[in-house]
Amino acid sequence: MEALLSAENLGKEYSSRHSSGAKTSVRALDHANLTIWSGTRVAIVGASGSGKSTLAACLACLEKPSAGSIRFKNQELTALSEYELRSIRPQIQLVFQDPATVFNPNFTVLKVLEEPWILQTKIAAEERRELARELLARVGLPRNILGRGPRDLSGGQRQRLAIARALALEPKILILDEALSALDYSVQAQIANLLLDLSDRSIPPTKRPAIVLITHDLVMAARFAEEIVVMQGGHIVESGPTQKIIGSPEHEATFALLACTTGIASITENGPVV
Amino acid sequence: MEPLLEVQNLSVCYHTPAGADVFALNGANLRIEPGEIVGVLGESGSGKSTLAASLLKMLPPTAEMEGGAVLLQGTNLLKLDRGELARIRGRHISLIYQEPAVALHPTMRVGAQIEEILRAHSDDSQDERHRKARELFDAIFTADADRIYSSYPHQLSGGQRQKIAIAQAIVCRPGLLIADEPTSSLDPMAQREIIELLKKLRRERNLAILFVTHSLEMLHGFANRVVVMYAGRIIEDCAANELLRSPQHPYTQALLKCRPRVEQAENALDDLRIPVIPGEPPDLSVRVQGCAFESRCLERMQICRERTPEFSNSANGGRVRCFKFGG
Amino acid sequence: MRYLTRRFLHAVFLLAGATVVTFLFTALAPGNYFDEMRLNPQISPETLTALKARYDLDKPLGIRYLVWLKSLAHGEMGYSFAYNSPVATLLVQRARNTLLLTITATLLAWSIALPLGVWSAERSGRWADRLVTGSSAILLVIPDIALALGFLMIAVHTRWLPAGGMASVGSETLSFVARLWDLSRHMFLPVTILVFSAQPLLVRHVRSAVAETLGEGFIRAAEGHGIPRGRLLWRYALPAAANPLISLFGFSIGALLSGSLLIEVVTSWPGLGPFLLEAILARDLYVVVGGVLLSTLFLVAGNFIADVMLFWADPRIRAE
Repeated sequence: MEALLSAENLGKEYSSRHSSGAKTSVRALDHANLTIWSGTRVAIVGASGSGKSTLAACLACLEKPSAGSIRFKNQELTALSEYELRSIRPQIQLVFQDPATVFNPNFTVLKVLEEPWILQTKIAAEERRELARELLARVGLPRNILGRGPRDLSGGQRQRLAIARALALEPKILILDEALSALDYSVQAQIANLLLDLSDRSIPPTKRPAIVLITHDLVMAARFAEEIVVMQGGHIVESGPTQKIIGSPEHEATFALLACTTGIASITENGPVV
Repeated sequence: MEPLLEVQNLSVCYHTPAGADVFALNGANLRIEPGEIVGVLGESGSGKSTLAASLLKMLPPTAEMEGGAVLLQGTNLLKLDRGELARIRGRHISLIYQEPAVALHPTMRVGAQIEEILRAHSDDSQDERHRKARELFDAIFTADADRIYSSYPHQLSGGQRQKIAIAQAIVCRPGLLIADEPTSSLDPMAQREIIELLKKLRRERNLAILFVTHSLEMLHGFANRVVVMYAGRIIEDCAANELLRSPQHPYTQALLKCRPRVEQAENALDDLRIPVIPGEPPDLSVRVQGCAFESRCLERMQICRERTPEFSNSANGGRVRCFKFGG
Repeated sequence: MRYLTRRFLHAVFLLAGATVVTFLFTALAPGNYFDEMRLNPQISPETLTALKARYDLDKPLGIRYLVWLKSLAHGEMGYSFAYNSPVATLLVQRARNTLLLTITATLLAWSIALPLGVWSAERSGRWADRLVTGSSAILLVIPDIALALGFLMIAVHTRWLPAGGMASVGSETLSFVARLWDLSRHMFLPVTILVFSAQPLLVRHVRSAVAETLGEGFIRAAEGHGIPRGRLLWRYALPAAANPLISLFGFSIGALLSGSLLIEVVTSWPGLGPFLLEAILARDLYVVVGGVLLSTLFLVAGNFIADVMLFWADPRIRAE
């Protein structure tokens, strides 16, 4: 297993100028160190404003970090120009939270899926159509929705479509930024199962992406991820194997999340266990 | 004891521009006692938000209410005109929503927004309104109250905004607060704070709350009673801790299994896949003849396809709409 | 504050640029004031050269601009060849006449458009709204000149109103009140035409801004709190819809000097419009530049006022 992506001392500062002239800057990310191994499942958890989404955006090269470095397959991403990043982007894909607004409402499902191929490859139209159908099957969507628009799909279906689109160029890393939060629990379960299937050990490593789940839902994180990274105030305050983080947390932020997320330690068939 | 609110046989149908009708709510019956916290549990399309909005006739223009009554201490709210309804809203029954950012006026200071509600429902002078609003505010925001009172919504966090929405809703001391997924867009810490605030308000003001949510965890240790909704109907109705301990309806049982349990991470199994409810959510534009859950139910019987079950008493002291128990 | 300072400097820069461009264009246009006189055999070429030299028309463009700038600093705007008097006094008097018209018309237009737009937005989709939108559309399509001539025709035929000008013959001898009445009778026609031509745009914008705001979540939430309809419209919806309307108001102010040229010409109102037209045709350089400067001043000021109002009205802009 190789270290696919490693971030060192990553920092991101947003500065804004108040109307009075005072300059304020917010450290959304501060001295973050993170390593993502290929084919693994990681969850990044934290409260609102803890910096999780900023970290995701930096890792996916959607934001340029103010400090630190990101190495992807031994290439330093912060040193690359926009043109050079073009070949990197398809390998690190990001799926966002809100399935309702992320698609162009004028596109059909086919067009949504085709776009990455049109932009990045020279595949012919007929082959693209066939590939699109395969993608739909891979995410559990019916093959006959190619002609429909995103508005005709349910929230869960739209999120599957977003994942399908992200998978189109066979990314090495799939990052989901609160992508499950807005869905019903039964649909969340289905999408979680889909992600588990995508990273199943039986799939050859080239087609098996590392999956990073960004969420404030510690329950889902604990079930899904092999490793959990806890963030607070732009810092990574604790990280480690899931069992350890849930079983013997050390940082107060982890304690707080655990206490607030479960409230009840668990619900079992025989009654609440507190 | 006379109930605070009684919903009788409420049905709502949405007329879509395409021509199809969506039957969002089908003959809902519900009683809320004073000071009672009733949870409404359901997924998207279950009709829970439609139920919440229809109690105050806050439905969009495409909605049609087909019969039924909403009785607030005897008065049928559905028969009131706009002016009379405006006197009830915010004063006897209040409503808060999922997205507090959207529910607050963007260019009005939040303190002023609370005072506006008082202005609408009382003849108090401006000083009196300010005093009352500040009093409530200080009770809710123990720290930093001054700064927050004169802030604008965009300067505040999601949790703070939702607290302000709650302040707006209860400043005139209503008897019932209808909360439609108020914690769904917040992180766990803010969620906890909101639940604690609501518990406090219930204790201090005997406030009844109708809490709509898709998360049963949210209702644990909070709600007295829970009704479960599916495809526009209430299918189970019992005490909250009973529902957690032994859910009766096959849908409720399946729903509870969908939510992973934290302690399972410690017993790492080979198969991490979470149980799901098979099949697709129901198509609300079709009036089904039998039970709406039938096609996805693991315990379905022939009769489930033929007739819609009625309520029957269940083992845990509540009622359930399922042929397993008679129907 | 920084934001406002920035906008102010922006405005000054705009103004300076406008003067340069105008100066350039007018000076680059072929011919000058005295060319007409060349055709007159009674005036010798030497006299012409002397006149030109006197008015600096033989100096290069750059020098002329700088000289003009210098005089501007002294509060003068150059000299009118045609009227043989300083430009400033001429312009101010004419501008006053125009402003009398346009300020009245703008105030009236907004006072009608705001309630009408709000009323129409509230009844969005129903017959009342369709009536307002429909008639606005028709008015919008009719060209201003047709409107002006139409009203003029009515005035002439019915003889209820004077058909032009600003004052009746011999009005100087009347009492103050009588003069005021005479003035308003003369103003009635041009003001009405201006209001009619401004209405459709204003009403449409007010209507669409308010209608869009009425669909927002906070209006629904306020309704759920029992806020009465009137308060909801005027205290909740309109302030939230104000941003595009404030910008529009800025344009209204900006057009105070420049928007009424056509109407003034048609109704023979002695305002800035006809005066400038005359000066352009006669190549009266400094009048033209001075007039443009004045109009641009209003345009830029209007924009700046809108910026200030936006800053004051919307806390989100203050936060940027």
